[in-house]
Amino acid sequence: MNSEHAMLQHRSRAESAACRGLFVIGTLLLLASVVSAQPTEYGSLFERLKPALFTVEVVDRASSNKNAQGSGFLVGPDGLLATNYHVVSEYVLDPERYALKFRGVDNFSGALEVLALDVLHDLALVRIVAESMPGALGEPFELVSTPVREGASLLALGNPYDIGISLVPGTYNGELESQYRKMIHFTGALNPGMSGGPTVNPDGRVVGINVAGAGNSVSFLVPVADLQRLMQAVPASAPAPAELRAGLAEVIIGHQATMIQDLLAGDWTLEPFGPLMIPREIRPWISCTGSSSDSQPEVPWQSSHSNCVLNDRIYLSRSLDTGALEMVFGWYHSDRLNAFQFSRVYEQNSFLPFNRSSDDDVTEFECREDWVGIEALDGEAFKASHCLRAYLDYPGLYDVLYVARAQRAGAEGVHLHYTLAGVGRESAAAFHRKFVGSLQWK
Amino acid sequence: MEVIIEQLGTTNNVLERQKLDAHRVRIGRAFSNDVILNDEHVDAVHAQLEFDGEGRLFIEDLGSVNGIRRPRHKGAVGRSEVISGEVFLIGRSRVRIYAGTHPVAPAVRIRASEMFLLWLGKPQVTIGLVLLYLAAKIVATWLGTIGEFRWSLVIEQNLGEVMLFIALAVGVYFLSVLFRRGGNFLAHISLLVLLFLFSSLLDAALVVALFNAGDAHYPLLRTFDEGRGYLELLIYLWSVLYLAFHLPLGRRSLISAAVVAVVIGVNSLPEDELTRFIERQSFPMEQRFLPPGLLLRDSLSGQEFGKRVEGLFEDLERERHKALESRDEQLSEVNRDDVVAAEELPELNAGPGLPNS
Repeated sequence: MNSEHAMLQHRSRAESAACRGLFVIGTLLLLASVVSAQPTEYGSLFERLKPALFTVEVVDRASSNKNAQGSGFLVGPDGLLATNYHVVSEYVLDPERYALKFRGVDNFSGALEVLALDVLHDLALVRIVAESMPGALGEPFELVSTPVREGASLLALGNPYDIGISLVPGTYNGELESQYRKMIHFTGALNPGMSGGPTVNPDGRVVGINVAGAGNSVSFLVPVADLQRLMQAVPASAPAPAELRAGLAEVIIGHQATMIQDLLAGDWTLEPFGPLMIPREIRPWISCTGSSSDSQPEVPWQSSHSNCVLNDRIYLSRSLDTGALEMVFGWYHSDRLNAFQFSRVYEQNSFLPFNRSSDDDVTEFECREDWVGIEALDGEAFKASHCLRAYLDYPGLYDVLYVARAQRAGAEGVHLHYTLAGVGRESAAAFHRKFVGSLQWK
Repeated sequence: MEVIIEQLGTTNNVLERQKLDAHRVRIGRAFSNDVILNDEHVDAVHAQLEFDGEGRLFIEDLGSVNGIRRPRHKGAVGRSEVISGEVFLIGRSRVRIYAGTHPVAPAVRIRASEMFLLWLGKPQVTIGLVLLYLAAKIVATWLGTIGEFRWSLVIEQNLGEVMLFIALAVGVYFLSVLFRRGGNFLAHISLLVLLFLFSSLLDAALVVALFNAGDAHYPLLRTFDEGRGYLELLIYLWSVLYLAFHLPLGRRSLISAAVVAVVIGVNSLPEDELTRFIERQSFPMEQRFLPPGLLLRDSLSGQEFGKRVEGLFEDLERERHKALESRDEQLSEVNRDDVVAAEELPELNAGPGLPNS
């Protein structure tokens, strides 16, 4: 308490030399800090929470080697733990090869069973199997019930790199706007192994579940509301992993259909790009970057790109993610090359799918390619490649890769490209119609 | 009195045949002789054939350094009667002498294709073709250069090909000299240039066709592309076997067809993993683009193309099942390996890290 005051007093003195506006802000900060006066030392809180924190491990049955490690925390009686789906995914996808284990603070350990999954929000509810149940468990974590203010201090708990249960202080920075699914931006160092652990407020109530870090203390949490929703539907007995997997395709198709519906609603606002009018940040959760080549004398052509993405990936397994979307437009032009030379430049582009996958997850891309007149662009002929690949384990789910290219008179070329990862057939068709139907020449 | 004189190659093949109507025939290296042998072991005036009063033919050494011999005989011939069809070694040249009445096989008819190949050996034809080749190279380099065109680029980009042509022509020339003392170097250069021009034309046609085509026509064009390569190889071999080795039509057709068949056979062996991998990586969209003026057909409407795309779903379902089956096969192999490993290392199954409490 004292040190906090000292710090704030020091800050106030420094600011008094500055202009009045800054002084006012400084006072506000002081007030806010006084209202939510927090302990700077969390020893007793950590002590209290520790027994309800667990290390969750996926173990290769044949070699007894640890395959994945994360964290989990007690959320209900009978040893009900919450963790991330991506911590337990290997077990759910291949229960014959992997076993799911836990370790508590006093080094007691045992087996876990999976009760419910939410792949969209990367959550899983697991339970300590009856035989492995220790005599006494800690008190389950309480979940926060009031909204958290931006800037509030939070404490992340988990087992980074399997070096022991740790506490990481940080700050709540609101919900991300750049993603379709809600996610909390937490400023604090989340490291591998802390996934599935809770992040609590100084009272010890869970605000979010650790899920990912982007480096440099930029980290992300799953809002606790998603966990609450999942906990409302906990089955009494654990379903077989195959049963848990069975409905995943429909869940993803449904989620993606809602997202695409949201994306396609209303008219898109178009912005100029070279000779085209194109959609850019049509929703807050679509983020765009643009780039143009410098006009250097030794490079006799110019190019610009507009690249808009929904980088909202749904984790399915270590080698497969889905849910990403990207729209890319390219414009090439030159006043120094003849049409043949320009073609050589223009044909250099290659287009790759946006999401991560392996041969064991998806089929090869199957493509149709032909000259197509795009009606919205005055019927101008584009060489269109429309490619699809199917997910092996999720029937009805597809990745779509579309590229349409046209070189126009006078050494100019445009390409239109999108990737849709993990969509159903109807969503794919609806998005395609809107994409090619909304473009215009300037 | 008539006499037929044949110069023979190493395999007793006839290199040159002359029929002379004279009482006396002089043989030697000098131009003044009736039969000129280009052989440094032959004297300027080496030997003489002469009919005597009774019509018998005699061969006589005119005091040469290397003499005249009969093959497989050691003794030199000073003056000897010639039996029609006898072979003599004059210096190191093999010469067969027939009496004028000896029936000679009729001359081989030269076909139009062979006339054409010989015509290619005319210097003015070779020069014309080489000029055409240069022009084509300059145009192609200019069209394909992204950035400033320099004349040196024409050389930089095509030197390798020109060297290859020359190396091929020289190599074949030496081979043919080995087998029949003299090849047709210019005809060979002309042939290579002509084949190159032919291949470039087909290539250009193929690029334009691919640019215009949709995926429905890709397999056909790919077959055409492969067939084109085999056709060029066939034409080249067929021509070389005539130009350099003078093989008769039947034999050279048979040999070139056999070689091409072997090449096709090798190429159609089951693909290895690597080739399959490379093929998988290439999307159809990675082909050449051309200026819009070379788009010679109408495009599909959005609906027509959309219908074709709909057809993909059926294909994908089939592909999905195939991929699932092959994955299951692989997995069962891996599992068998696991079982073996577990049997070999039983202590690992009850590792100390994981008490089963």
